[in-house]
Amino acid sequence: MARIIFSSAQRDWVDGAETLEIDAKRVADLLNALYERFPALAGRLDHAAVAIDGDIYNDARFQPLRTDSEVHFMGQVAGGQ
Amino acid sequence: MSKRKFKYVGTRPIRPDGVEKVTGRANYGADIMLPGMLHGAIARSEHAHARIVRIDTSAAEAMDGVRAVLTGADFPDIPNQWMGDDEGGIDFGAIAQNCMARDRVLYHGHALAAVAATTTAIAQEACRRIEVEYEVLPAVMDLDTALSPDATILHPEAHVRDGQPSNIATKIVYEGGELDDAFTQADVIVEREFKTPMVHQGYIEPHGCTVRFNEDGKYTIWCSTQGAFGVQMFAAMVLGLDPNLIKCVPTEIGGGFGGKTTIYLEPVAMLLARHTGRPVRMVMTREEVFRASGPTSGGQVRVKIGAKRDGTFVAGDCEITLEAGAFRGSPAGAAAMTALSSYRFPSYRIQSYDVVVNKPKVAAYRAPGAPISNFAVESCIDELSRELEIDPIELRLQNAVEEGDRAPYGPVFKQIGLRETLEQARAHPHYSAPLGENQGRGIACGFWFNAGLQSSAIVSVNADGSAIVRTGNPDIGGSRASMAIMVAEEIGIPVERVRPMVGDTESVGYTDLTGGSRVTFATGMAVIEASQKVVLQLRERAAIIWGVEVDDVRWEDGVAYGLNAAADQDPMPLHVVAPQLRTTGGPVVASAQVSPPAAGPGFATHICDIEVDPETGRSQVVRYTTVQDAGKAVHPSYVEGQMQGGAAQGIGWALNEEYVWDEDGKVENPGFLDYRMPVASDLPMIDTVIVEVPNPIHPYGVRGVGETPIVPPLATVANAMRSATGVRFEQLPMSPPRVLAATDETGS
Repeated sequence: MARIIFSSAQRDWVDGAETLEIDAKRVADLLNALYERFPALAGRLDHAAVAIDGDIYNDARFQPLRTDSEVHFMGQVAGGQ
Repeated sequence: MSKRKFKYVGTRPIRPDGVEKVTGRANYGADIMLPGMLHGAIARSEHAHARIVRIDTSAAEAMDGVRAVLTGADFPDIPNQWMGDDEGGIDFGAIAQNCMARDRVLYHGHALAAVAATTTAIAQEACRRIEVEYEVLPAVMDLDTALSPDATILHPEAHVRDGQPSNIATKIVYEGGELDDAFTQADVIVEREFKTPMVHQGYIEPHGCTVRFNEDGKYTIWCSTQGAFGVQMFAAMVLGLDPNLIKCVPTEIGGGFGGKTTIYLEPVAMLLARHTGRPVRMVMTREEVFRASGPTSGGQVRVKIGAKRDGTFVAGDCEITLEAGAFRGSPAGAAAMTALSSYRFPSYRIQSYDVVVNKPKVAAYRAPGAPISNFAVESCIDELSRELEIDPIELRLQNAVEEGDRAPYGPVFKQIGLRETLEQARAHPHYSAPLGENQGRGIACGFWFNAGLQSSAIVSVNADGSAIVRTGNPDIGGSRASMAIMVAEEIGIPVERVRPMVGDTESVGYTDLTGGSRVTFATGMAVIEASQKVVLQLRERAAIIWGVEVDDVRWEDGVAYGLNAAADQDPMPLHVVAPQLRTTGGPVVASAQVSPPAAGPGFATHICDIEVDPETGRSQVVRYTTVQDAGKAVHPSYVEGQMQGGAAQGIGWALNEEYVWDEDGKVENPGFLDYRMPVASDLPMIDTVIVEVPNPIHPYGVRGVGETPIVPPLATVANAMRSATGVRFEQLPMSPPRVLAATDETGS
């Protein structure tokens, strides 16, 4: 089960949960499960960057998840060098 | 990965673009000349905030030599739609309105009409003859005004908070632990509020482009940009076109630092070219660059940090407020995410606000947002070290994040090198060198994420055994050299035998911008992979020549070796294999594409010695050392250059740079004479120490390096100033008048 850790702002959309465990093989599956369970969250994480086990992806929709993956949704960061 | 012995990676070959640049032959954005070309110019707003009642272009249109005059009415209506979340995103409607105002101007210098004429002088004179009737509106020129209860609201339809229209576009919050309780456990608490001004990237080359429109409806744009594919997409969105109709050719670029990741002139030149049927060139003046391109935010940051007597941090609280300029999109998210990430804070809260004001829309600037919040946090940590009487490096080492620690924005850090940079700084002779009269020393650390994003590369081998590598990243910081080194390393040929090229949007696969310190990391990964495919093909060709299986051929350092000891196979170098490509299957070409995760966190520690003249308040940085984790330095000279360049820009931000506004919201110092950036004679040679803690997700261990070095200098210089004068400066820049006033007040 992938473990999602929500930021304090995101908790407003998931009934205050700090973490959730969801059975998902990839980020898209995890998002679908989250949106189904928390309709108020629907679409809000579509543009978020996703940190999977510490690696941050800007486009993570089809990234695979391990059974013990830790997942964060966060702001996209590019930069300006 | 870290045990690999490199032959070319880590060396310092001569830059491949050097001769063209020092002989003046390199073509920058303003250098493209086409037959029949017209020259464009832009009429800009005289007010910081006004409704456009009427624009009369008849006098301009009547001038000899004028071929077209456009206003916002000639551009398609692109609806405002934020594509992203609270922490980051893009609004093509805002980009369109920033390129050309429609019914309102939102800052002094906002484009409101454009002219194409046979000369630049005629175009500029025509702009002056355009008559505009304004209904002047109150201008919101600072954060306090923007957030006051009776503030004029810039976008009442777009930003609503607590049911009321607001100038706050976004609020971002990160929090963890029990903050209030944690502060009660602290033995020492430091709380301060800081201000930083809006500052410009200060790239030498102004924005410039040339556009050709063909009768088949296709456009070609030559421009100075950090991302050709971005220009293609942005221009298409702003003009409602199919991106397939637009080809963007990136020219050489004379600096960007984030400021050339968006568009200003390109869609205007495209419409002028379409209206006239002639190529159109547009180049900003330096004054236009200051008035109308995107600087970085001015900001206010309140910081409160609590620590135990032994130096252990127990709580951190930050409130960050950043100016977005005329449209949503300050780096409030990144400023929040980086603010407390260098240290372990068991309890924390970071609140960050993106606020619109009547100033130019901000653009990215090297580690956007991070220097602002870092200035505040690292200044407070310096105060803590004084109150606790703990050496500032020791205090930071005591609390520094390392592998396994969780960042406030969520993820757990993998292998990182903050501790190593602190230890190297402590061991550096600079840190223990004696100080002279009126001198002070400061240190600070800094952090930046570094980006991954998408990249592609094509590598081919010529019949003479040389190679070509083509990528889609404009070369700002030496990427051609580092790409050539990586090809040389994989194929095993001298770097000088590799020709690196920057492709346009039709000659290489999609590649995200040169930015986010990502190119050597991500595009380098594509280059390495493509080179490895080339090596496989070369082994196959050697196998054909020898009449063996490919598995019986090893490739090492540019030479094929037969593994079948019984066969008579002398080692066959590339220059022997390459002429036989024709008879063994044809050209050897390989491509690769990647979309890796972020480039691995980059940390740095800086040391600054400053000398202050007590009579004038003028300061001089007399010694400066940067220590940074680069993961693996592919071309160390370029890495050192990035470290020095970031430090120089940060020192300028700390000491002198600021936009000065008059009471009507007009920039009073739109030129390098009055906008005081450091020049070579202002700075000492900046010493560099490259730390190499390998990045586990890159085959060579590379991390991004371009942005981290601008994060620590603001606080490093401020901490040195505190040491030299006894004054904690909470507002930048620490310019001579401000230093003199503060030292006079305190009697320092």
